[in-house]
Amino acid sequence: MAQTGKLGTADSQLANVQLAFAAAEPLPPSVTTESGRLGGQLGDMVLALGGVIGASVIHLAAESVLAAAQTAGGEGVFAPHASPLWALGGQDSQLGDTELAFSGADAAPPTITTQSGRLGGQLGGLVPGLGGSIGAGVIHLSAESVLAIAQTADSAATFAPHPSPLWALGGQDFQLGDTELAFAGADEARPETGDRTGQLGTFNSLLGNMRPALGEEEGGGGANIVYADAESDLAVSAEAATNVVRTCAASSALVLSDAAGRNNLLSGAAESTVSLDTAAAFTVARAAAAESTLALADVAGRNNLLSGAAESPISLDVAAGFTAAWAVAGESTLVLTDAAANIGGQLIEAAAESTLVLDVTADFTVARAAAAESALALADAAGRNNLLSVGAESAISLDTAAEFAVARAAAAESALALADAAGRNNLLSASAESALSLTVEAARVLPAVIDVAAESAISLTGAAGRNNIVAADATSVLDLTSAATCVHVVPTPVSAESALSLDTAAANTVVRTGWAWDDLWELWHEASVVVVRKLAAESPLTLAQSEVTARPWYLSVETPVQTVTEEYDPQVDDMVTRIEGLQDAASVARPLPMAVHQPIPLAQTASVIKVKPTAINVSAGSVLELLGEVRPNQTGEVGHWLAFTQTATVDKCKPARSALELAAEAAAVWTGPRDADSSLNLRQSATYYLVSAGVLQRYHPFVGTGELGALAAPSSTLEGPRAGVTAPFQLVYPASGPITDSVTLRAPNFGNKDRLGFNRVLRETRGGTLIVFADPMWPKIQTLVLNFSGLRSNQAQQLLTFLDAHLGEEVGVYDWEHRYWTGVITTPTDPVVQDGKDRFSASFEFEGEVVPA
Amino acid sequence: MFTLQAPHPLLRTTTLLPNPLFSDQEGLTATVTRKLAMDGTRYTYVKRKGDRRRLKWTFRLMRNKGLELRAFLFAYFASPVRIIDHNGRVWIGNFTNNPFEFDTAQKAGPAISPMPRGEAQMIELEFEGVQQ
Repeated sequence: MAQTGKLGTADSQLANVQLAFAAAEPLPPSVTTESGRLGGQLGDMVLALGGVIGASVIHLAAESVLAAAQTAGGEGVFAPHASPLWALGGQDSQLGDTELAFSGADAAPPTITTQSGRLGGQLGGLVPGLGGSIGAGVIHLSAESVLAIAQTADSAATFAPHPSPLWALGGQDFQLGDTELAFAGADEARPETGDRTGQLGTFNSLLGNMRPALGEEEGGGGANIVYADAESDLAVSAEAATNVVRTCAASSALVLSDAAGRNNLLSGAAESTVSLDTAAAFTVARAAAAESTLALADVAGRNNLLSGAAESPISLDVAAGFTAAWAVAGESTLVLTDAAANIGGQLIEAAAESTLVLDVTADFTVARAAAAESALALADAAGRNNLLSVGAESAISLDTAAEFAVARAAAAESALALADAAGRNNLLSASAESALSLTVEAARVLPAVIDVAAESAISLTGAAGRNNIVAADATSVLDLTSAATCVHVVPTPVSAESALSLDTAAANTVVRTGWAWDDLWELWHEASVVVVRKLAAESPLTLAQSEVTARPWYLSVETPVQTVTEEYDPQVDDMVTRIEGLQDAASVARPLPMAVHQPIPLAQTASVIKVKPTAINVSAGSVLELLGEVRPNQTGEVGHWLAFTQTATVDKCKPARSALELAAEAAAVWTGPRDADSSLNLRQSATYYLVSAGVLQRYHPFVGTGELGALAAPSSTLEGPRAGVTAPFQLVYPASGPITDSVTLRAPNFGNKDRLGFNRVLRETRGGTLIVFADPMWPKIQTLVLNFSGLRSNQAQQLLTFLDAHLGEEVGVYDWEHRYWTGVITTPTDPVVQDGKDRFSASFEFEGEVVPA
Repeated sequence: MFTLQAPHPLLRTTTLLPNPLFSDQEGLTATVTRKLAMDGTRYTYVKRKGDRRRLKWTFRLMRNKGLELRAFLFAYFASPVRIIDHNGRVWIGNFTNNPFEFDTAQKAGPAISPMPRGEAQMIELEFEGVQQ
């Protein structure tokens, strides 16, 4: 990227770099140390007037180094996020799948194999009419068939990386994720380093308004050689490393001591101490969400049984995004050429040619995408005509309602061309039979979107010559069996649900019967009352468990190509069936690790102790609820230990002591590198060579605009009158300090002059260019030319006395605008003129400068 | 309106002045050198000096504006100056007069804060530059 600009200007490279750097760091650490000057150092170099020193070579170099050291704060901010990949209890479709997809650890593709073999059949066995040993005419008959199958497959599948929540910002165990992703994604274009050259003395020169000093005329003074180089090197290096030591310590100690001592003495002591300490220390600025709730409720109620209830809710959310694109291409070419020639003999003509061409091309494409809907459509169409032409078309579209859908497109093309030709001999009768059997079998197991297209074209030409053999049977049977079996078990959600319902119902019925008799005279009345009470208790316990299981899948393709031939065996004198051919099988298996081990031990122990009625009535109920939420990372280890210990000791004195100690301690120490170091080195240098025939030019800063501020801009405010000054015009001595002498005059007349005299050099070059130069060190003469009239005699004398007393000394002047000047009176010889009676006029020139209030 | 801007090209300060008084001047800086050969042939050598012209303006300013111009000249007396003259022409060049003399000719009111008096000043500026 080409960069143009001027050094020291607002749009210089440095400014760009800083902006770019600032933009790249959303939250840049504060710069702690800075050194150097930014920008404009070249502008400081200005050619100035100088004397002839003698050296003809001047080397001026200005160098500015900016070193910005940035130190990142020790505490990073990491935003937690729920990563489904790290969820607890993941099945084989979670971490395993994703990592395998990225690491390329899938099962090895089918091995590249080369198969070769020989067809065992002789030519005579393949050609009808030639297999018989009829006459002596057959002198030599040999055939050789070599079958070579070369199969090539891609050695490894290509996996295209994709943004994964694994690499999201603020990953739990990836502290550098924030910074690195910010640098990688938001880096803006940085200006490149480069060399720039320019010419001095022009307004748009590289060195920024540097102009040659006076005395240096263009082209004059002999060999004037000007070299100007400017170099800007920008080196930005950013290193980030992280070294963080995290210590998480949580300690919970619950000590419950209950001691009661009883002996036979009259005295008894009982002590109960409940100490609950919960301490947690976190030295982490990290999203570690840990929540522990410990509630201890003590309920009074007598029973002898311990009641404990533990509830651990486990929430498992699993979501995995999986994208894989596989492309498997397999090509099998089978060329079988069988040729035979019959030479000599009485056979007039014998020629046999068998050509078997089998092309098998398989393209296998697997695309997986997560889908939520599935539709199954199966279309099968087969057309069959005579044996010579068989067309089969099967389109299977299967969508499965699952979290995982697989769409596969498999195309298989098989071309089989079999040409069988037999020369004509003298056999009187000839019969040829060709049976072609084509079996296409496709097996599809399990739901998946599979598109299988199979096309088979078989061309069979059979010709049998006729010879003189009275009876000859030749049978050629071509049996082509192509079977493809695809078994694919996709991660179909297998839901296993177990519902255990435990209902406990107790019914208690109390029947009470009451009788009432009213015995009256001749009146007998009976009433019965039945009181029924029913108690019912129900305790439902429901345990539900569901899981999603993904099983491995495998593919197998089998293509047998066999030829069944009926031939005559002279030894057994019978026709035998001969099966020849080959079989091609390919299988792909992708076992996925399914190691899930999730032990959940649960033990419950209850003990009942019979308490005597004379014993102390002690009832205790404890309900302990422990709720823990842990988000372990990929490498972290988290352990929880919960120990209940209850001991009871009875000695002779019958002391009873119950100690319940519950200690839960979790310590996590995470040590990792964490350091952020960004160093920005900006180096800017300018080298200027001036070889000018023995004339040395000296350059001095502050003229020009190379550095902003070097040339003081005029103040935006005017120097106004001083407060408290009332004299119309006053000369004071000394200029600073307590005034020892002064003279007050009236305001000067109009026509006073404010003269600015500058030391400035104006030169014209030979080309007519006007060069104006001034060194700010050179004095600037400010002169006030004042005329006074209407002075009184005493004022005139006081003025003369003052001038005489302070000749050449710095005096102060309060002018008619009540501003204070310091300087000297340069024209003491100007006379005082008497214009009239007691009326004088005077004049003098004052050279000085205004003193700011 | 008369505009002074400096330093050129990185302009930082702009001063607006009233139009100059009549009798402003504009002249060439080119020179012609005449040489006469022995045979009477006349040779002239022209130096155009980059089409630079010499201009001279006289301004009558109020005291405050005079002080403003004074500060401007104090800062940029040796710097390239960009001038947009009263005719709208843009010039880039340098002031060449030395010294700059502010002549307080007469009283003129009213006084503008912070200056206590209302006065008028005359200043003559000589300038050599190239019209843009």
